[in-house]
Amino acid sequence: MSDTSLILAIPALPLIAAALIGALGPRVFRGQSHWVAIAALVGSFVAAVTTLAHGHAYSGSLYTWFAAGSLSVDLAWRYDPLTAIMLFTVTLVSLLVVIYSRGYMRGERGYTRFFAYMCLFVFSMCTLVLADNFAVLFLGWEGVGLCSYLLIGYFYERPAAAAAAKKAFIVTRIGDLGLMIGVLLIYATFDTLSISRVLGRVEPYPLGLSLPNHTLSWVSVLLLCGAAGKSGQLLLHVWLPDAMEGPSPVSALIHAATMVTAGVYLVARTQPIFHFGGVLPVVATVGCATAFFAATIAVVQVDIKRILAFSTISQLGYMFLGVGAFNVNAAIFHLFTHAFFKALLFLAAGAVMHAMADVIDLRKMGGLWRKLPLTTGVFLCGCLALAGIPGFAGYFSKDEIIGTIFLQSNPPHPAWLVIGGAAILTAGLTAFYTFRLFMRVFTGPEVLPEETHGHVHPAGVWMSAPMIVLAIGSVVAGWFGSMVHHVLDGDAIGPLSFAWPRYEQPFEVLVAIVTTVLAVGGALLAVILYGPLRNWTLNAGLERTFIYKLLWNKYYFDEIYNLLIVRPLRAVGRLFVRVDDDGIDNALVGVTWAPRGLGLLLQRAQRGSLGGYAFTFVIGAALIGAAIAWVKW
Amino acid sequence: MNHYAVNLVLALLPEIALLAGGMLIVLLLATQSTAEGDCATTHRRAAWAALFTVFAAAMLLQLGPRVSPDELRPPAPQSHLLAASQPAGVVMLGPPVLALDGTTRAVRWAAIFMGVLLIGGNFGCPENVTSRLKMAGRGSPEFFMLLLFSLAGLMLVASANDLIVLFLAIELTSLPTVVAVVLSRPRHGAIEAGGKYFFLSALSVAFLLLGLAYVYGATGTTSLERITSMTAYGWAGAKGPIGLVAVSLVVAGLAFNIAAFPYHVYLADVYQGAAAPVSGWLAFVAKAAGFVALAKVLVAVAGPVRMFDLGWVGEPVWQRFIAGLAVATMLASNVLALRQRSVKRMLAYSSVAHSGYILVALLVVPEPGETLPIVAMFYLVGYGLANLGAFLTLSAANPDDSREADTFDDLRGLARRKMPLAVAMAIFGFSLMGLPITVGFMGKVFVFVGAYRAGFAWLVVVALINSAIGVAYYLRMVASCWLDVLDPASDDPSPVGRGSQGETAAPPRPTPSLVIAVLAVLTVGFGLLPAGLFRPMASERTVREILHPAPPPAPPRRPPLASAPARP
Repeated sequence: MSDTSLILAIPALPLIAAALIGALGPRVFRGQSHWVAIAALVGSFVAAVTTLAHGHAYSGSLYTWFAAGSLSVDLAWRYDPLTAIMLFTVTLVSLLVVIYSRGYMRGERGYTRFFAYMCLFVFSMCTLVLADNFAVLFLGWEGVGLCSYLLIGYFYERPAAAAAAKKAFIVTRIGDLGLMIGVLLIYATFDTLSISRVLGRVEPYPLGLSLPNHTLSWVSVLLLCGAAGKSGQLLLHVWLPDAMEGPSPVSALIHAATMVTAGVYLVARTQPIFHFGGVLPVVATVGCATAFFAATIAVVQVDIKRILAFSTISQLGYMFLGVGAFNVNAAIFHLFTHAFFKALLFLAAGAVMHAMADVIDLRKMGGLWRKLPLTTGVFLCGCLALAGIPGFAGYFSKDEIIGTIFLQSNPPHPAWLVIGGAAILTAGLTAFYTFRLFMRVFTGPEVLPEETHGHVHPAGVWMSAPMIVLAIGSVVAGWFGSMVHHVLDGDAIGPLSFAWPRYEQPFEVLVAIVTTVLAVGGALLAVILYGPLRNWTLNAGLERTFIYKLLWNKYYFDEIYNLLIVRPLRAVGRLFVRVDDDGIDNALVGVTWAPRGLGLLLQRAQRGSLGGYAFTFVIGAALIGAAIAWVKW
Repeated sequence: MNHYAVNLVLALLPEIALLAGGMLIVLLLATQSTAEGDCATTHRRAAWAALFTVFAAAMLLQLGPRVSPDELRPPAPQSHLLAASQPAGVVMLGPPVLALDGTTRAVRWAAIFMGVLLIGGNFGCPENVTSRLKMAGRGSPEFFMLLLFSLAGLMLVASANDLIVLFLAIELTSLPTVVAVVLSRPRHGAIEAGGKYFFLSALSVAFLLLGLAYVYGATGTTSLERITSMTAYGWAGAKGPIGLVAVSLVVAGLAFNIAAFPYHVYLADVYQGAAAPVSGWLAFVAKAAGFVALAKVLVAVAGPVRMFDLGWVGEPVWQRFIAGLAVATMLASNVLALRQRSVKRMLAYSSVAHSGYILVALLVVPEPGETLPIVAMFYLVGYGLANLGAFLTLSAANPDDSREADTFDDLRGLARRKMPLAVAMAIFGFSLMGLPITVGFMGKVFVFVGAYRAGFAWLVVVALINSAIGVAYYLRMVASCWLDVLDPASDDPSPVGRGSQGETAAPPRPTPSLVIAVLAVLTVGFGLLPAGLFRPMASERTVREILHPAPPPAPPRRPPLASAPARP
């Protein structure tokens, strides 16, 4: 198989599967729909691995999608190190999640619909990372957004799910608007939408690309808007916690491992633009702030999936921080490891929900390790990786990012020191909330929510197998750091047109020690507080403090947005409805009376009598004569 | 027998075939069996024979000899005065009585095409035969003779180049329809409708004939070619008092055929009285003949005239009047259609509205060799398809099967009872409304774009507003079919069992499913591929120009005023 067909098979197979399941699922496949999805995703994964192993970077075009004037949009793809890593991650995680879904979604209404959406999502995501054209990238971007909307609202009978789906869609649309304007600005500036060509012109920027002042800065800021919306960065993060209304496999795949990393991918892909636009420090600041604030919120939440959601936001912040600190390799490496352990955590949380009759409040459960030993084991692997305990996946990638920060300037600039300090602190917080979650759910005396009626569903083999694979990944993924860097540096499949500056992968001993101490300390603190001490009263005392309330209410972001944006918009909307209903509608209804009235008038003339008709005919002839004379021909 | 007569026969072979076929059908079948059971057989045979005749006409049209217009000039009568001056051996030729131009070709094909569908649609007509409620104790093969005659009449109208031929052709088109209306149903309603139709038709024919006589009086000739050349050379007789009376009367007479305002009043009664397939027949054939004749007369008496390759000569003065007539027709009919409770009456008034749109099409600049713009024919055929389809669906849609559906209530729940019919009804309704991917939409696009390019932007706006009004009642027709299905609350199939008032229980009426299906497919098919309908009717070049119009020439830049101070 040629490279081209192999690469195109990666998005094509899920698309075919989605179409097949969508068309034939309800009638033909029914309960066996997952086989179609699994077959397609195995194909995609094999193709992704094969191209990664044997392929070489190149770009190509399927055909010209449309052309208008100087604008020509090709369905072009670009296979390079970044894409290779992304494709590998996406296809692997999606395959595992779909296998898991076979067990998790069994018996749900709309079983086939679920797999059709999942396949459509994988197609969109692969399109997004393969695109060598901003228009095609946008297509994939909106495609994953659509699938996210559909899957969050999968249980659309539940008002909360429907509202969450709407919120996710609308909030990301705000970011997408920025992305769209950014793409238009790119077209206005470079007269092309081809990513390769744009980057090819940006890179030799210092060598004399004459652009209007700040154009690149504006482009970067607008792209950052889109990326922040998709990746749940600060100010646009409010949709991600609510998105946990979707089924757990969806949270694992879309809202942890893949789609939310699209923003990181976008910034990484267009990093030269950000660099020469001078916006990278902004990216770093946004990422750092997000990482820190999300981690603090996670400390007090009680909803398992929401804690994980805030942790995702926080980890995405790390990735932004990595890109912003000029170390794209580290960011992508973190993306890679994060995909494993966060997907694992969500799947394990799903297994807990599955066992606990969909109860997700950690206050209602405890000591589950006796009932769910396997889930406890894999969850622990995920926690160790997320907390950054040395030896596990998160440790390597996170340390690389934090280490990079202190290499920005020599001696370190105060701003970078602040960012670095916050990042290290966040690592401690992460370890704390991770183990708080673990201890409260899995250890201590056994507490089961009432809803289970004492009966616990263990995870079947369909659910266990993918979790075990991911658990292994969470443990060992970090060890493959050098391999990932090998690929990203372009040594394996070769860079396409540009490469990020190579770093001697930083391993600042001091930073590493501090981070490790903090992480282990945070974890230990949580273990002690929620383990042997089981000091719930400490919580009760804290609950009255202002800072606790602030964190509990997620810094009141939802409330502020509600007050500043949603309510005024609603008021304007109500005004418009009033104008429309009372003003325009009545006016229109009034207009419709005109033909009716005229009709009534004319109807009077239609009595059905022959004499009357004949009379009309004679009058008509006179009328026609008069009209002809009147127009004076 | 001279060559002229032979050429005339050769040129009219398709029409002659239709007329001969119609007469043969009657001769062979009318006297056949009088036994009860054989009526239906006789009837079916007549229908098949008519279908065969139309195919034969189509073959003759396609394969028959081509006769050039010059070969159709009769020898001029020997004049003593001229005889003295003209050289020996030279025969003076008079104006041709036939004009075989682009419009003729288009109308002939349209007539054949719609003829096949009309015969198919009228298989179940007249009802007294198929429902075996016999009136005369025999089949009605003459029904199909009438249909063939009126098709032949329509084709003759298109080739007429002489006022007398034109008049006779129009009568040949419309008189059979009067008889068909009376024959079509075994009910007094049909007879009443036929009677009205006949009297009013006679009245309007009187107008038309009087008008044609005045034209002759003003010009001294009955040849349309002669009149055209008089107009071309600056004769302004049509603007004089006699010309004005003449044109007014001709327009009044033809307005009956096309049912333009205020000659639309009879239409609803006739459509309601006649069987639905016959209404579909009236709507197409009579209307097409009227429009072709109207275009012929107006162009002849008032221009414009195409002078060789010089383009249009003379101002088309009648256009403003036609535009006004179009507005009045569209408006009156649309507001009346809004108020109808009977679907057939609604369709009748809406058919008047379509006449208004076709009047707009008359303003489109015709391609070379046409009198009636080809887009008008396109619209007519597209309208004819959807209209016949709607009528046929209506005739099969009633819940109790003994009579045709008439009111909107009769259509209720059609989607549940006969889903394919409801789908077909939706297609026809959408086409009549002018929604995309139907032939009705394409027709409106071509007509409105053409009128816009001819400089009638305001008229296009009026026509669009009227189309919007039209959507209201057509949607009502389409929605009625689905109401029961869409509204789960009403489980009560109330219309069922409400029928059979006064009528004896009749056997189920045959549903012309095949014809309805074909019509629905064509309605969508020609909407997607309008070239498929254009191609047989017009030359390759015309089709290309309509489907891919060149951008209009840029308006000439106004030269700067000489007195304006030059800016640095």
